[in-house]
Amino acid sequence: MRIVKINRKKNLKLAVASTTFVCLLSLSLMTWSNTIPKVLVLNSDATVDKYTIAQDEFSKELPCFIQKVDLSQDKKIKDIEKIIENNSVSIIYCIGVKACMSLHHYNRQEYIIFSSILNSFRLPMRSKTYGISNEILSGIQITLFRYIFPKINNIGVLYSEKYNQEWFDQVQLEADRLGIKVMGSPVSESKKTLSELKNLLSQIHAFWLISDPIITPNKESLLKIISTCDSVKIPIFSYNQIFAELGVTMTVSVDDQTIGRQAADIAKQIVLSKKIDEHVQFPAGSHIVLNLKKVNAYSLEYNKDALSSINTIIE
Amino acid sequence: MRAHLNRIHNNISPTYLMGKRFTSYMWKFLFIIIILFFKSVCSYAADPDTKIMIFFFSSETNINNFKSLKTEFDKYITALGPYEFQPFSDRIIFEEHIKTKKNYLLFLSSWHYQKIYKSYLLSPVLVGSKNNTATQKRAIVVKAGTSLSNAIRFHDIEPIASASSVEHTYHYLIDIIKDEQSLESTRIIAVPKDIDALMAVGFGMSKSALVTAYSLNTLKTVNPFLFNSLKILTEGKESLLLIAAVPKPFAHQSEQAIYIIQQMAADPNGVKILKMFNIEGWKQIEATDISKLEG
Repeated sequence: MRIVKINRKKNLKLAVASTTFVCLLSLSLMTWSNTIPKVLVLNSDATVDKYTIAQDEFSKELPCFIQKVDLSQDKKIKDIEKIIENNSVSIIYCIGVKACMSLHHYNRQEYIIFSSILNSFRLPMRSKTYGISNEILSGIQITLFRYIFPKINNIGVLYSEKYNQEWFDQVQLEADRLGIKVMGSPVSESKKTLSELKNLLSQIHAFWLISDPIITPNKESLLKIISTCDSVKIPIFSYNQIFAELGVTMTVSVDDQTIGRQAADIAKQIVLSKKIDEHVQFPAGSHIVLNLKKVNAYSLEYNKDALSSINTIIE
Repeated sequence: MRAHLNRIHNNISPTYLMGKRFTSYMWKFLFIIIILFFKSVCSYAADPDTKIMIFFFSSETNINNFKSLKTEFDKYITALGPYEFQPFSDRIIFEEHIKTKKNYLLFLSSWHYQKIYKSYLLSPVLVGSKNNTATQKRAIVVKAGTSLSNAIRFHDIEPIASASSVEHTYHYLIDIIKDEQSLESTRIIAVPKDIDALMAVGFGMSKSALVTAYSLNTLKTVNPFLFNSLKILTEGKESLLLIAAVPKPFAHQSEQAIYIIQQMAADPNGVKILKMFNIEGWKQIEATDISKLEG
């Protein structure tokens, strides 16, 4: 009889201990899951390489619970709202303009980080919005042009005053510091672009093709600029790596992996409640494409010591 | 017509038929022999084990230029023998991959060599050279106006832009600044190349950069204004440039391959590829280099 009592007591103790253990474990798991920041990545289109590269790098850098949504897969804003609420998401990383604009009309309390958006300074900003712009600073671009082509000192630019006057003023300042002369011709209408270009070509060693809706309103105008420069063997420097395949000599664009890392760095600072100095950062990494076919065809001298800094060589 | 064909068939002698069968078997046999021969030749050419692979991973750069590097290197090296170049962007995948291989050469950083040479039974054979030297020094660079106390803390200079892998950057930092406690939480921004790291400081995306002394000199030539806006906070020790290594059991069979690699500096196309690795040539590894690596 006594033995039975002892066994009962033991069993009771065991039951209490195991229940306490289970309770404590689930409590700690709940606390743990609540303290881990939950991040939602909204990708405008996962079939676009640059978006996916930034997304992958972001996920690699951030040891958090990350849910990914591809907006090209017919996701409605209501579905996204549900994901945010059901998962208690605290940070949303929007890649591309579609992702960013999908949240624009909702007065959300989550932190928003954006990247891979052209003209991001036009985006509506809230106190909890941070991001990385998609434009490489003109000072960085011109330094990299000088790095690859140290002997090119006269660069021509066509720009519209409406969109790029401020940019052009800054470029002149940066170019002066490097001893480079940047000759700019303002263009008021797209139809005047080619005539202005022809006037400019006789005075320059290279043409800098910038992003401007007046200068290149469509692909046809882009191809005409490229063939006009090619006919007089003037190299073109530009901002979009795809242009190199069309005959542009050198392109400097943002490095999408670094964009993802910078976005992850902002997220880490939010998690650690650190003060973030800038709401919008400039990209810290560059991606260079050099078209050696054109370099050789135009008999240009380039800095071979810089070859380790070039991402893609076209030969 | 049918009756005519039957007549012909009946007139064919058995010897003729046997001969015809024999010739048909001979043709089939010959065909199989030819197929087997071509298959063996093709499999020899395609079998990676019969080729000498040159594997590359660098912890000293984050630039993704592998497509161009592979195209250029393979174009150069395949003309000289059964070699193939394979670059890697991830250290773990690189190490997992070489675990299963026997006949190969490795290009890797001296820091990485020190980490793995024992477990992979590696032996260094060549060291990269640039400006007639086989070593480089790294420095922490900040904006010229930055004032810091004597005891520099990592948090005072973060984020730190670096073109090396984060793990390798930590190693350098701890070697330069003895602030091990705050290292783990220090913000590092991995950028593709040294010039990006320098410009990140110059244009305000980062407070400091970990770069080689060589790249600082490059900036001095390219953009003196930017160079003058920066200052060296502190410098690290000398370290060896890119290392070419082989597994010890393969050392004797690798002599021809090593000779070809060493001769790259004598060929303009070879020099172009070496510059893509950020070196100008190779030098034979010396006893002093080995003691630095395996000390």
